[in-house]
Amino acid sequence: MSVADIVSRCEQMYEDLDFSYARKWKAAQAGRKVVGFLPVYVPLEMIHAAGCLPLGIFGGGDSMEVIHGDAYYQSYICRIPRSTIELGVTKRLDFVDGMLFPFVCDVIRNLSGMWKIMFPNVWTKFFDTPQNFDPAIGGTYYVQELQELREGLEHLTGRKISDDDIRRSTRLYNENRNLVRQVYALRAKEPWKCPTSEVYVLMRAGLMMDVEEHNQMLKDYMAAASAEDRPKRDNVRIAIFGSFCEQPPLNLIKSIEMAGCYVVDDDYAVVNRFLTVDVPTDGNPLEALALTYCTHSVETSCKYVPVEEDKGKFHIAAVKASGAEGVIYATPSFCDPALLDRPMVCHRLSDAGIPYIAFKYAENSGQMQPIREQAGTFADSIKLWS
Amino acid sequence: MSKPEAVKEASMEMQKAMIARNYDAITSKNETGRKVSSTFVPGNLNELLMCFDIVNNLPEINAIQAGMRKASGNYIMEAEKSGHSEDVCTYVKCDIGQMSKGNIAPNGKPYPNPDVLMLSYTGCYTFMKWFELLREEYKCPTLMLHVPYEGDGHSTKNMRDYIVKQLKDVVIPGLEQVSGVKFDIDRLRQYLRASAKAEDDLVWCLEQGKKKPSPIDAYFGGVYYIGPIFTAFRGTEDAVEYYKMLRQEVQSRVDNKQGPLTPEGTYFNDQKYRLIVEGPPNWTNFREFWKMFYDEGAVVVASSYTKVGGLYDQGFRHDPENPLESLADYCLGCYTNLNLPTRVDLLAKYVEEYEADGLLINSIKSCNSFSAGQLMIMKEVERRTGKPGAFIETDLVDPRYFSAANVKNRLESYFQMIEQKRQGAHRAA
Ligand code: SF4
Ligand code: SF4
Repeated sequence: MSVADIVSRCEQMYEDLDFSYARKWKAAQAGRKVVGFLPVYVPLEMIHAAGCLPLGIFGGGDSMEVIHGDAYYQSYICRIPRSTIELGVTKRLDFVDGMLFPFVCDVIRNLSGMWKIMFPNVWTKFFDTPQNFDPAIGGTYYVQELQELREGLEHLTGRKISDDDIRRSTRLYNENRNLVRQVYALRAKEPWKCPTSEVYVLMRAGLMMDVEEHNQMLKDYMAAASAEDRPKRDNVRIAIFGSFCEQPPLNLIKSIEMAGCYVVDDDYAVVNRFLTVDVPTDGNPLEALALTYCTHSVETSCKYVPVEEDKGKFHIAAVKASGAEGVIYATPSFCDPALLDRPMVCHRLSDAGIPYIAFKYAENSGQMQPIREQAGTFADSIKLWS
Repeated sequence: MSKPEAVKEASMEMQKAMIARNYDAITSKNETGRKVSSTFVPGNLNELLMCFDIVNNLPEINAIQAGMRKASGNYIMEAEKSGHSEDVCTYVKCDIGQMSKGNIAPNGKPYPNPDVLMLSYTGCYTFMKWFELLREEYKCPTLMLHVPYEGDGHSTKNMRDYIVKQLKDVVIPGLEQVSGVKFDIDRLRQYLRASAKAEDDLVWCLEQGKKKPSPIDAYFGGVYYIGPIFTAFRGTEDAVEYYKMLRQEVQSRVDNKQGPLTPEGTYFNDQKYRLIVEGPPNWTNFREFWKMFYDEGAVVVASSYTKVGGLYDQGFRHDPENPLESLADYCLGCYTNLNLPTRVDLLAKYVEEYEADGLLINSIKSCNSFSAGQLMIMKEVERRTGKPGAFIETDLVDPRYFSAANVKNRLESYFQMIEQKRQGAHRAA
């Protein structure tokens, strides 16, 4: 398959707010269930082990008109909850049997309760992850939370989930995480071959499809992209942080590239990179997930950083590893986690001599000119001073 | 023209003196050698801190104080100038801006650096980053107590065990280290006993809102009533005394069929509208805001803000027999740690039990924890109770978001709506 074929398929899925793929997947076999999840992180292998399709819900993007959703939120709340409600009340999610609202911030947290009231027939769960990362404390708590998630899923599907089911799914998701990392590494190495506008939709589509299919797709994409002969431009290399929850419109992602920036690392829809190593597939599978979460997950604004000296270390390491020359801290408007974190992370970047700029966006931002100008000026200044 | 001083009852004077003593204890730490912690109101572990002779400083309260003194606007702008977003909670920016402006306490002396940041992380995401921001500044030990959110509408054994474990393995050893004082569980029990006693009296006072006329205002007056128990005094004999005194004052108003005392010194007896209020108040224009209510004859008979530091009226008491477990239950049960359906249940119950005319929401721009979902709360409570709701928007300590004309307009139309509803009901009868 060519790059163009793969990317066009992903784009179609990414744009499809009727979620045809998931609807078809569900209809293909009696008794199948779909479980939606919001950003930032849920253990997808648990949903998969239950025989369900995990479906990433990342708001409504820039193509959907929000009519009802605005009646639920004041003007000073970010956009993703209102467009998610819009998806719900316009029945675009009427086939979804369960919804997981992970811990990100108080907005998504409260949305979980709204969902319970609005859609009482949907199994709705707030999914908490620990902020204490000591395996004996936070880990023990998390194992039990995973057990409750397991029981909830069992109740939804009417079938038991064995340890082996979880191990099998974990293996598939380990493979997925590995392949995702490889795509990211390839992009960092030769960003002109894997533009972020492609990598992004490839990842977003992956969060809506069967994991095995996505694994194959990632392999196909890497093979096709490596083989293509694309010109290398005189772009600067930058990393994007702050975009882990509400997503920027694809146009914004493209605009940054068009302004002369190769994006070599990012935290867009970070769920498939949340765990940074393989989850062990021997022993107790819930303990394995918990331990990996506690010891090997990304630093992102929805997590506490227990040690002052560690703050921002993750970002600096990511910049170094990807060879980025600067950082764009791009956050959704009204996003408490990203905006409260921004000064701290940016201080650390400064201390490490890494140039950065910051701006805000909304998932339906339409005006790209200012972003292009800002990113372009940033790129020029890096070229000039580096 | 300067504003006349607010008329205060004896309990208010007592509270003022308690707060002043606490500020003195904080600012004199270098002379006395006492250790100071910074911590948050919801889920605060005051009794536990007292076991280590640690003085409790609450940045949220300092922001409120700055708001009431009209100093917060400058602090917030200062923080925004230094790179903090206009979108985030103004308590945080007020605190940070105050630091850069010399960090002067209400007693005129500079706040000393805290010895420990006690991050009891209950019911609000912002807490976590707020203390990361302070830690960056103060470089002092930070003890995180993660309190899980009651997403399914109840706490679980797992949540409770997790909190107790953190108390035993992280918080208590951390406080021992900071203070050099060995933990004594019997001392904790003794404080918890005092807490429960004060909590009984507080609940009695809050429940008097059911009377007609209501002898209390459970929002504007309520913020005074909850002061000691939500802050640095829960577990002290001072708090026990304060609530005894408060109870006597309320009792005397009940006996005389009087309403609460307004800041102007008159008893607010002519109560036309009985309201339940959801959300924190605005502090920069607190008296002006309050006046808009009593001028129109509206009294608040119950509020959710007076539950951010514990739902004592729903039966919770600190329990000396199960000290750590009871601290865990306390943290879990603070109002903003409850899920949305539970908040709706509680507010609808208040509308019924307090025979209110409806629910008024003061939506705070700063506070996603409270605000995200409030429009739905209003609709649900309206639907369940058949009583009209209303929605106003202000901020905590950012004066730029208090539009007196706007708020007044909305309140007036709300009261008209209540009138119409009454007349409709009257005609139907
Ligand atoms: S965009 Fe930010 S504030 Fe909005 S739901 Fe996501 S994490 Fe929360
Ligand atoms: S967001 Fe709300 S609960 Fe949290 S610190 Fe600010 S005002 Fe308090």
